[in-house]
Amino acid sequence: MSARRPGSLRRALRLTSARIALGIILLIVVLAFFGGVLAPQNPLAQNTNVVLQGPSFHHWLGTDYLGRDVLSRLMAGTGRSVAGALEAVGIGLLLGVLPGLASLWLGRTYEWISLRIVDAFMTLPYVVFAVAVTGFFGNSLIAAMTAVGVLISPLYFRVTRAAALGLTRTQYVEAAELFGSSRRRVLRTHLWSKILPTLAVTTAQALASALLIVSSLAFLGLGVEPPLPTWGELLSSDLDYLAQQPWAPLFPGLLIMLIAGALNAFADAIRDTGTAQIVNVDPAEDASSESSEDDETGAEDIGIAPVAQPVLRVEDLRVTVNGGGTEAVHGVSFEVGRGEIVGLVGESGSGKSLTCRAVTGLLAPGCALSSGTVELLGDDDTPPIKLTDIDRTAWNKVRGPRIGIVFQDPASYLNPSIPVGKQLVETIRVHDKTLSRAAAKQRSIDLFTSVGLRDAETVYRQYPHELSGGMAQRVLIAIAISGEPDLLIADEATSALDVLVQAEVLDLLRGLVRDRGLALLLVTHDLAVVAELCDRVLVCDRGRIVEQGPAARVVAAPTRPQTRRLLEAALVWQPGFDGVDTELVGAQP
Amino acid sequence: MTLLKISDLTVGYGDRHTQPVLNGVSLEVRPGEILGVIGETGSGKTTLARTIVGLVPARGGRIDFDGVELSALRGKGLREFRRRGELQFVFQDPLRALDPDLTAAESITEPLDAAGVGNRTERAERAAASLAAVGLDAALGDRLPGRLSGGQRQRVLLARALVTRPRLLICDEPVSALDAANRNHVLRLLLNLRDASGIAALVISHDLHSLAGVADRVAVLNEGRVVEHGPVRQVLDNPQDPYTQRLLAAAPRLHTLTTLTTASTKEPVSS
Repeated sequence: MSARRPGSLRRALRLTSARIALGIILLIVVLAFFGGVLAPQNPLAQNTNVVLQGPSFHHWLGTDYLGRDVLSRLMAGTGRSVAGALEAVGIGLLLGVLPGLASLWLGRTYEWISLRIVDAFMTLPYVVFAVAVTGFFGNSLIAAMTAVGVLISPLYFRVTRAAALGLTRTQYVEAAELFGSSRRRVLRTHLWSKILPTLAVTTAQALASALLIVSSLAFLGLGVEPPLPTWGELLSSDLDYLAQQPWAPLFPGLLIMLIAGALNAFADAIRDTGTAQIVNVDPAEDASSESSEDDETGAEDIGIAPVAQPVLRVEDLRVTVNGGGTEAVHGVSFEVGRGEIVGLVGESGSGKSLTCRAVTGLLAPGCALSSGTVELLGDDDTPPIKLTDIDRTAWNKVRGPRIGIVFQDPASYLNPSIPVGKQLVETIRVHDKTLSRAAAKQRSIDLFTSVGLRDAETVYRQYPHELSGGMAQRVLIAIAISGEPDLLIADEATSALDVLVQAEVLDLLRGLVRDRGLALLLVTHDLAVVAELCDRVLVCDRGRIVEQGPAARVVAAPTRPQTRRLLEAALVWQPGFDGVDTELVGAQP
Repeated sequence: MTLLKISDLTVGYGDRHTQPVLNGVSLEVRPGEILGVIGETGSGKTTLARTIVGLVPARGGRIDFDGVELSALRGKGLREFRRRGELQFVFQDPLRALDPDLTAAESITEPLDAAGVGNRTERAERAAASLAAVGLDAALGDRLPGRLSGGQRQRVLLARALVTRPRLLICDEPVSALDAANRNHVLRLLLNLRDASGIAALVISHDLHSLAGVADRVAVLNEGRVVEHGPVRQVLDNPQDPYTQRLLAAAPRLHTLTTLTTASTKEPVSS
């Protein structure tokens, strides 16, 4: 069994851009150590016979005003330039990370003071500060880069603090606290491995800027100790002879750009892959480990039941997981008609969520559609769309205007830093670019009202964390119906809500179907919800639809053992089971 | 004899003038007893659980655990009490309560590591025993949370709480993230544990029905106060408080199926 997922570095290196960037970085590292040795000629040797020459066989990049070989000077200068950048970043790391972590635990006074100091440092411009420091401590590269390092430290302070602050509020760190774990242990077990990729990204970017700064400083003559070469010094001496050699600054300039670009590209690659960790439980395996009975029953799928005015038609849908290794959905077919509420029920691992994700084109990496068609049927005005054939751009015209999607956990689908009203306005304007901001705002408020949010004007200005679970789910429903879709797909949309709120949201969904003639596909594990809301039920088990029919019939007289199991599961903890008077269920006020 | 005694507990966020989230709550859990606490979002039930274990400070009242005044413990004393592991908290959402970078076994040994119990082998053995106690295969110990199903994750969370052999579990919505089959499985597990080792539990839920089969007594929480409180059958069959009645009525029920309910009880339950 695979236990650990590969580190962000290994994952980043699957990208071509990251590999090229790393190649360039390695080359620079080699040059930094051995540049002087590898240089074809002595970088300090002057030759007045070949002053200011263009590129030639002997001098690939030409010679400077003292007849020194430019390529050799560039190569030999790498070490000093890189060392200067590393010094600055190293100091920044040390002065930033440790106080950043400390600010989480050392109490409010320390936190307040450190934040104010950091704010003050952030206002200082690098170059001016470095010039001032060298004016004080003498013109050396070390002093200049120490100054730069001090100014880089706020970046590390903030990045570390932000990353760690988020983590210390996670439940697993809370749990560790409840076990009586020491702070050092919490840092080592839970925080460190998660902050590290962030620090790596920051370091790559900081190195790139430090290289630029060290070159700028050398360009200004700071920390330059002639005749020793650095990139910035090369650039500045080239500029003096610009009239004779207009192309000369190109080479050091290009080299600086190349390495800064490579570092940034590398940082991007780590960041992109670092955040894209999608939890991917293998549903087939899940199902087999949870229940091993009834293997011989219900193995064959049952056919499609035609409906009037179908909006969605799924035929023989097959989905593989584990990168194509295992088939988890084995040929599912069904239709959803206009104004109809269809429930897709099953235990976790039954393939219902995979089916739903395949229909919405949102399969997680490693999962793929292996065969079958999903068709969105239009009416007189709109032609049918084969969703299994379309590309990403075409999906953007489907999700929203044609299919609205509501997920289980509304909070994680809303951007926490933007008021919910703004998020709805954005969605509306993506689909209708002609709409003015004011008109979009009015529509948002109307939509909020129509999903039963009281005081829509206030909600419009609120942030997601200010909303209760039920309100957030209503906001998500408002966003889902803002494109006036034909089909609404709700994936466990009410499972996380408590009973009173769940009842209200189910009422809202029922009303939307009735008023707007929507088709609703409700994916849920809860047969009670299905019994309450749905017209028709599809029962999913181990990647197949094993039973379907009108909700009332399926719930009252299931023909399949899998359905019966679901029912029993839903009933066991209902009052009335387990020896108590069954009539109680119906007799509640 | 009581194991956990909560007296007149008042908790509020913000300064003293804001409306308290919990207002004079008094409850008791006896050894080997399962107490259910029910309420909807905003009733203060999660705050209650978090205050008991010390994640939220109390504004007034006191909490006693087996002769120790929990609400008075601070700093080192609190940490030492926690390391004894007599009181464990089970979080609602196992995906968030388990570090995604630690294997199930690593997470389960964490409380032992923190307390410095035994050597590495002994801790690993206790983790394996704990996994077995919640009905999970030992091989699952090597998996990361992302590679476990929801039901398995919740059981890992339970195994982690059980590894210190606690006398009381505080469970915050332990099953509300699970589907019906897994929910029943976890609740049965809780019952079996109680019968086998005499562990007591305070189980928080928004769903009265999911507590019906496990809890001995239930307390109904509404707007920070206990509005009703008694043996589970009494509260379910004959709710006195109008809020409890409303809560019971709002649950989606399979009311069309009372006939089937009687029929299906006669068959053995397969899972």
